[in-house]
Amino acid sequence: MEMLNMDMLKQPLAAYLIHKFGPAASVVNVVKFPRGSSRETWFIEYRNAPAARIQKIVFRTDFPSGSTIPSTLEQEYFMYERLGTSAVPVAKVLWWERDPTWAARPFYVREHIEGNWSIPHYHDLDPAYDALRIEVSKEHVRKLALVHTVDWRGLGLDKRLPAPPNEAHAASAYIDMVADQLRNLRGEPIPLFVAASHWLKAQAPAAPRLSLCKGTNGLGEEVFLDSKIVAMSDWEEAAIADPASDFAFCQNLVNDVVRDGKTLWSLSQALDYYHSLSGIRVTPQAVDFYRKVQSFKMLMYTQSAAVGTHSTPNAHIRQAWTATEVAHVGKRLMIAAMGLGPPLPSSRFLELNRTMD
Amino acid sequence: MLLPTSVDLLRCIERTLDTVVAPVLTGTGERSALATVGHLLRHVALRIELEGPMLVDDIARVRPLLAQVRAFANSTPVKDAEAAALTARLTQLLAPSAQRSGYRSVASLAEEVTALRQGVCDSLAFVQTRLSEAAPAAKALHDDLLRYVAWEADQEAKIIDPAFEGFGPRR
Repeated sequence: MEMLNMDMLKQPLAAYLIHKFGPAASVVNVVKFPRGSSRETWFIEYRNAPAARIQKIVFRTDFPSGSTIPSTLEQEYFMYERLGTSAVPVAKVLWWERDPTWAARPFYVREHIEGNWSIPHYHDLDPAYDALRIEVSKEHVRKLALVHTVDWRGLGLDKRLPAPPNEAHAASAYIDMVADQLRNLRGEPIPLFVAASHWLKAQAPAAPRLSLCKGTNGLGEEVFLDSKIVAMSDWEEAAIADPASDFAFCQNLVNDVVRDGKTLWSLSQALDYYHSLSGIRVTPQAVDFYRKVQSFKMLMYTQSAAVGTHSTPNAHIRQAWTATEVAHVGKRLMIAAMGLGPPLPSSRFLELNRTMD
Repeated sequence: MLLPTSVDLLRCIERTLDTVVAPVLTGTGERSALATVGHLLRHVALRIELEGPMLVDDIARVRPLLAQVRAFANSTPVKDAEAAALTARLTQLLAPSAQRSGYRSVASLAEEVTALRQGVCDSLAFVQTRLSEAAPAAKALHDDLLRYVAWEADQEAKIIDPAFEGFGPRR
């Protein structure tokens, strides 16, 4: 078993599990999810009794220096709890823990869903896997359609997520929301942020409808089993917004598939497929706009990481990296989008996303 | 003590972590954290060498720019409260200060740059409201402010790119 310091707990995990599941409960394994820059995720295996079946649960908490994402952990828990009553596949939340006897900082526990964030062979460029790439993309589009047609008013999501006044103001409301988040951080002044906010608002498109949007989604965010999404994870960036934003914030799952000069799958095709499922017409132009908003968001959340790193020596090393290189890349992306500097070479993104696993 | 320098020491630490500690680590989390540490050590080494001069350059570039904005704001009609408020803020910001003479720590320079950048933010917000009037002076000033924004990122690249690019996985 990995010996890891679960510092969100004031007492050993074994004692906590006994507290929750009875005197015969015991720890089997603990793994800290090595990916993820917004919050900590821990996978726990335990038994209720020595011969009992192994149970799996997931602990989720902020870094000691807070989350990189300015929405609260409690909001994330709320999202899981509410979506658990909808058709959107999410892990069931089990409990929220804030008892000072046990919690050094609040955390929540959700069920573990069998699956993996990665898809075998998805990045294998062998033509044999083109069909897999297209099918996985379609699967993700189907799930986005499900999210975007959720009755967010019926679920009461607008009690926690600010809703734009109407479709015409969806984009400017989103930009204002990010600006509010930056302001609340009380970090350093960022002239580029002020310039970009003005520039983006000048070209903001109207939304086809106001939907629940997931925020960052796609590869690395969802749980797959046999190429199907069995759970959509990490709702910390959820917003009532233009569905186009989710296509812009999607990681690697609406990519073009081109073989021998022929386009087998593209964003346009994905959007047509999405329209056939949801009735919502999202344009590539709107997706392109929200890709620029993504760079704008990077300015905010990397500043959040900077404030977190500045606030305590207990900050996670990954936050320090987010506050330095990632922050700089965000600035360069925004500057390039505004036509004030050259585009970043694609090799830089490949490097930035390389991990030890 | 002049030698070894701070940068010498950081390079020695980085090399030791890379050759002594990294090879015996097996857990993904530990290897990931150590990879990030290496990148950040190189970044800190560059900051030690370059941050002070960069902040001095920043101050030298932004003070005349804010003086331009102040002149622009001052040239608007007397009853323009927003312009008057910005003029007052920039005047305060640009006033000579005893703290700005003699030897200055990086922290003191950074404090001044932070205040000046807030001035740039305020200036941008103000000039943006004047662009709709199709005033060429506002457009020229806005362009100057945007050029500063791009220049600032180019400056920052000097302490980022050589520390991270080409040095492998970040995490």
